[in-house]
Amino acid sequence: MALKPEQITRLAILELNALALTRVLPASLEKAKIADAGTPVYDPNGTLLFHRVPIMRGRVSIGYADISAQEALGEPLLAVSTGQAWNEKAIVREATTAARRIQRALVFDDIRFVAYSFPKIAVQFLNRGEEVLLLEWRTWAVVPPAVRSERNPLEPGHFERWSLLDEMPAADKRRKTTEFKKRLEVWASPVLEAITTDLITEATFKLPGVLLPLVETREVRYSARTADHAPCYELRGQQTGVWCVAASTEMLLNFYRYHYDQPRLAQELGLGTCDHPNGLPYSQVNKVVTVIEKLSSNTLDATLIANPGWTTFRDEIRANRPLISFIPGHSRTVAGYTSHRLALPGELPFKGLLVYDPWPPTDCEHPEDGGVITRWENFATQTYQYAYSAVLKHV
Amino acid sequence: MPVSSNDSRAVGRRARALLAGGDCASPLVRAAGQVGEAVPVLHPDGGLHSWFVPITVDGRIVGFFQLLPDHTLLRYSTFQRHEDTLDGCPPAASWLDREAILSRLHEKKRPDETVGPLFLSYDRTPERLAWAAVLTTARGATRTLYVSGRAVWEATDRTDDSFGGPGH
Repeated sequence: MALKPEQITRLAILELNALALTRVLPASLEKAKIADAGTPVYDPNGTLLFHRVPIMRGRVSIGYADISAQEALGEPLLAVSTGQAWNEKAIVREATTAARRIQRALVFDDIRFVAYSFPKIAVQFLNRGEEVLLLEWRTWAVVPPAVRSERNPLEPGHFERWSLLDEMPAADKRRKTTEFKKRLEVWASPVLEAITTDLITEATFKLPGVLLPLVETREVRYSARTADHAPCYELRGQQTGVWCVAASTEMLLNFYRYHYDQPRLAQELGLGTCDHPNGLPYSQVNKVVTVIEKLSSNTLDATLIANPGWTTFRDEIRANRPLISFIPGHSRTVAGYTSHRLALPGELPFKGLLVYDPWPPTDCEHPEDGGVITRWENFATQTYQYAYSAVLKHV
Repeated sequence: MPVSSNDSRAVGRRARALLAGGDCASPLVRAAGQVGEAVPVLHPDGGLHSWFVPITVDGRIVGFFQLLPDHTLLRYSTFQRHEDTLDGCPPAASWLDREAILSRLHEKKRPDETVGPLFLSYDRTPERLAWAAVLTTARGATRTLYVSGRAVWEATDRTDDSFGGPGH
């Protein structure tokens, strides 16, 4: 079901202001305006696909946003472009001039915009509802008619007319429609009715009582009942330059109230003494599992996970369990995560881990010092080699 | 990769925006934190890896941003144990005063060694930030010393296969 122009305008305002709030949007768009729903753009099969909404400063277009009119596209905001004006009237004038050059006697009674090869746009000339010419925007090359081919869906040729909606697999359409509806539910929240601005500004969502679920953040706590207790995790600095594994194991065991000092843990892990310490050889990574289980009298069931992904960390934290995280050459623990739900189109939303890092080191005389709490470690920039989970066994 | 004062200023601007953004630092640090001069973090072989931007409050270093050369956020890390106090935050000089850091490094200098320029680097992996200097003997033999937190140590074989590094 296609959205109406007034819905498009409101979606553009809400989506762009949400990006402004999370500082994802370029600062050049601060206090720019959305004046109207802009230009409808159609799929080659004739369905309204999205609106290209001009972003205005005064009377000048300084960019545009593509706002989906179709639930099957998954997200209301398809693209944001800055430094590139969108002036529909000027484009139509230019396209008409180009069309007259190609066909001097061209007869048409309507013009509309078509995403002939999404997201590439063309200007379509129609007469009595039938296409008489289709010119690619800017190059003004004639777009050839669609051809039947044996190619796979969504793998079009270089300059081919094809329908995004017709070629999108049905399962994708269903999934994206669900996602789109969820997003619309967020924007339909009653507290957002107070937002009536046409401005794009960081301040729009800073209203009393407005708390947007744009970010999902979670930290380990005393129990899974988050309303009852504050975050509950403590940092331990590594007491020698090579005892990151001992410090990480100490942090994890401390969470479950097993208090062993770091020299003792180092001894169990085979990491030497305060005066003659050594690191944990790569070949002995399983030792961490053995030590956690031994020192918890097998109350904790530890597991080594190779190449952990985002969901490994997220799911363990949701279950209120911290993890030990090995990256090449170093070890830390993870006690929380944050996950942004918004990003510029084409970019991944920010995902970060709350890392209790035993580096920088302290010494055995000052066990209370050392370490940093990293809030947040950019998940996209790190290599996660191993993780250790520890699950409390129940009777 | 050569770095310029323009690079440093641009990184500082990005760090100030991130600090004001409110997603990383505690309310105390957002309100009172001073964004210090961005310091290049060099690979042990001298190339630019990232930027370290310290945040200080009342003469203590409370945290830092680490950003890639293209300003991608690697992390914000804090020394604060609790959001509302500075307990646990070391004196800013221990991370930012080059003379103070050099004097600590001199504790492990041998009599026949000269100390090269101090630079911010890392031991084994960029999460293990440390100040470094190359020491050279009269015969031309070199070794690298690191300073971080309470520790001063000599660089070891970077190809060793352990988490944390070999013994030292």
